[in-house]
Amino acid sequence: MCVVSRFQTSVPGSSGVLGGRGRSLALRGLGVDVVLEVSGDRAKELEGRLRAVWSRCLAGDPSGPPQLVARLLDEDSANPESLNRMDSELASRNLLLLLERISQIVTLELIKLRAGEVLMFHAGAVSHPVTGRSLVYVAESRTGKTTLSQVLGSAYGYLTDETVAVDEELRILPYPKPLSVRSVDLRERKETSPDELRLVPAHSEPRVERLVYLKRHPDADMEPRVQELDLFDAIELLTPQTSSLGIMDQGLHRLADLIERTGPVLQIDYSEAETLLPVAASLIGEAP
Amino acid sequence: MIIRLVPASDQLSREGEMLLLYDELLVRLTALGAAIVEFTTEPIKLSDLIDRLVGRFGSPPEIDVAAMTRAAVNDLKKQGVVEILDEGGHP
Repeated sequence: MCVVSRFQTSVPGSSGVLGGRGRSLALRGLGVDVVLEVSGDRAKELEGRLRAVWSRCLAGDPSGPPQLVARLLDEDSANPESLNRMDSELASRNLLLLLERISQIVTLELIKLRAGEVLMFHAGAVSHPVTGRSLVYVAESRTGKTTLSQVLGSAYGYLTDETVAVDEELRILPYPKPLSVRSVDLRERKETSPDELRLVPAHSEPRVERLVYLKRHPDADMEPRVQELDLFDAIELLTPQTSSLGIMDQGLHRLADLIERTGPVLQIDYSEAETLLPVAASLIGEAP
Repeated sequence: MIIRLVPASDQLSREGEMLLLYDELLVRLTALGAAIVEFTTEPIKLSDLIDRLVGRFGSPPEIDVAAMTRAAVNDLKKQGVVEILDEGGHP
């Protein structure tokens, strides 16, 4: 008789706190700020681009030392490049790569800051712009959350395409980060502001209405298939897509409580993001 | 053989099944595994554990309860749910 099965959750990486001189930006997500110092030969260019792509996460005057230092180097700079995801000091001649890596590290830092405090999912989320009722769509990495966030975010308020934090009152702590969008020729990814993509701004008090678990079948031509998940089945599917659940006090109970107050969790098998607009409408209401 | 539960950071029980969370690892147990967890919160000899499982589930003639218990304990040990102690109570 098989008595056990096991599921791995993820652990955020760590990086240290560095000093240094340059201009600082505070980026807000998940209810906390990460301070980013911008320097290097092309600091002004980098700062301008960061302010543009992080337009919905700018948090006013930074306080405290930077958690991350980013340097954009001249093409002929003799300084070495450093784009290691675990580093807290980045340097590159390539603006697009640097911006992509900054997004990854800022996300890891925010997750680390909220570890053990709030439930966090690898998920995207949108809110109804009038009511704040929100749909959280949990999915494995690289299965279409960003694409879906662009589609749903054209009708509903964009909350995030990557990490959803939920407090005990079912409030979502927004993280409207730049979306990593592939260029038309699919050769490179570009960090793109939700403003540039004309995504709808989020409601000021978004609350979880429903959690769904997405399984995309890109090669299938299918209408969305929706099924309700039993509580334990849902926890099994969701746990690997959480962050730091194991260090949260009564993490399993918190997750079960969230599901029971908003559930049941729905598993949705689908192929094309556009087909989920009617599903979203049925769960959080028609978009205005 | 003495068996002892490795405490989880959190656990949930429902209709005989159990979920245990160890740091970043979730383990789902059937009713048999859940009963072993219940009976090993204090160190227990294998023979006593078998007796308690028989008391809980009975002893159908077609099932070798001792062999099934050993297999289940080994399975739980591999997952880090229980540990095996020597006669002196040491892992």
